[in-house]
Amino acid sequence: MPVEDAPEPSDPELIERARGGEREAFGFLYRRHQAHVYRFARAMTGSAALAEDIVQDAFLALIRDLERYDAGRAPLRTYLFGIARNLARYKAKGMWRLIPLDHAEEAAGRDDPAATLSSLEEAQHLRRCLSGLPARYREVIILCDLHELDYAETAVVLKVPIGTVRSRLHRGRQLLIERLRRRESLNIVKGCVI
Amino acid sequence: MKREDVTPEERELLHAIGALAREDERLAAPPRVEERLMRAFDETHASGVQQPRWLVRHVLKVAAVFVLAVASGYWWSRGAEPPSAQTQDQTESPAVVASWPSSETWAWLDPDPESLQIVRVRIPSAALAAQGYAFEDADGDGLVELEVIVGADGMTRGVRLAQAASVIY
Repeated sequence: MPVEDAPEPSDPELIERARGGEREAFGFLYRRHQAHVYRFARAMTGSAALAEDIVQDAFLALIRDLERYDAGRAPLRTYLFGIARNLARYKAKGMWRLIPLDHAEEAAGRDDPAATLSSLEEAQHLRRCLSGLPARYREVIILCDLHELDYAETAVVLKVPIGTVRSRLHRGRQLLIERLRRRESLNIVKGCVI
Repeated sequence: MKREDVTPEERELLHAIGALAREDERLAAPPRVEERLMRAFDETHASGVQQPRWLVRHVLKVAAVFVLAVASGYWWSRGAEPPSAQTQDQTESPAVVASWPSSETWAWLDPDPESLQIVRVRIPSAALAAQGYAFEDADGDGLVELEVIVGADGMTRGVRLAQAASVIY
């Protein structure tokens, strides 16, 4: 006789239990959201090591602020994305200082094993171009297009009005298309020379 | 809603980004991150977040008792009288206190210890000798330099030889 699975507890319920010190509840929350935070951080920084640090720091912040987290203000994933976004921008500042801008895109691609291993060269190109975008455009594309958050959720993560999300998304996509075009033309020129 | 009015180029871009998202689906933080976080969670909840109020209250009580005990012990060991009694005796206190007071007992010498002053005076050694205080006149000028603690009321609280900083009686 098949056993009916109990419905998974909601985030607010798990938060409440974690506040009471129930480690399983916190573990459940972590397993539910960590991959999303990790992928977001990795897309933002282009680095697996930094993404790992960001996931750890974001959840440590959650442990510290369990009492203060208000589920009514933002869903947990949005809240975690907000922390991860701040951490990514902060950590990326230090990283970009050490890498010459001419090689930034290339370095980001090399540091990302998923991109390196990708069988699709276009995907690698896209990833590198995305990594090379200014942070304010990169983050909005990653949140809206890669993670499929809606405008309102993205606005909460970035702490900007919805109109700003729309305009940045539009401008970011245009920049990305321009960069992809430039790279394609470069490849064609390279092919002719060779 | 958000994908409305996209140009063919943008549509192509979104398609490519969708492929990236599918490629990234297998990515996740390594298990060691979860281990570290669970340890941090355990430590946080074992070491204070759950029981801060009663723990802090107990610590404060113990600290207060400890401070009171140390203070009482100190006064007891010094064999001193409470400040009010000392103030009451001031009118009868002799011009020369038995010893140069330690810095801790200055507060007992005067209700307003900040007003106490140290005055350096030179007294003929012969006059002191006539009172029974014999000092060697080191520089041969017939004078001995003394330091005197004077209160705001003009009464002397202590005296000592300035050169040797030794206590006199």
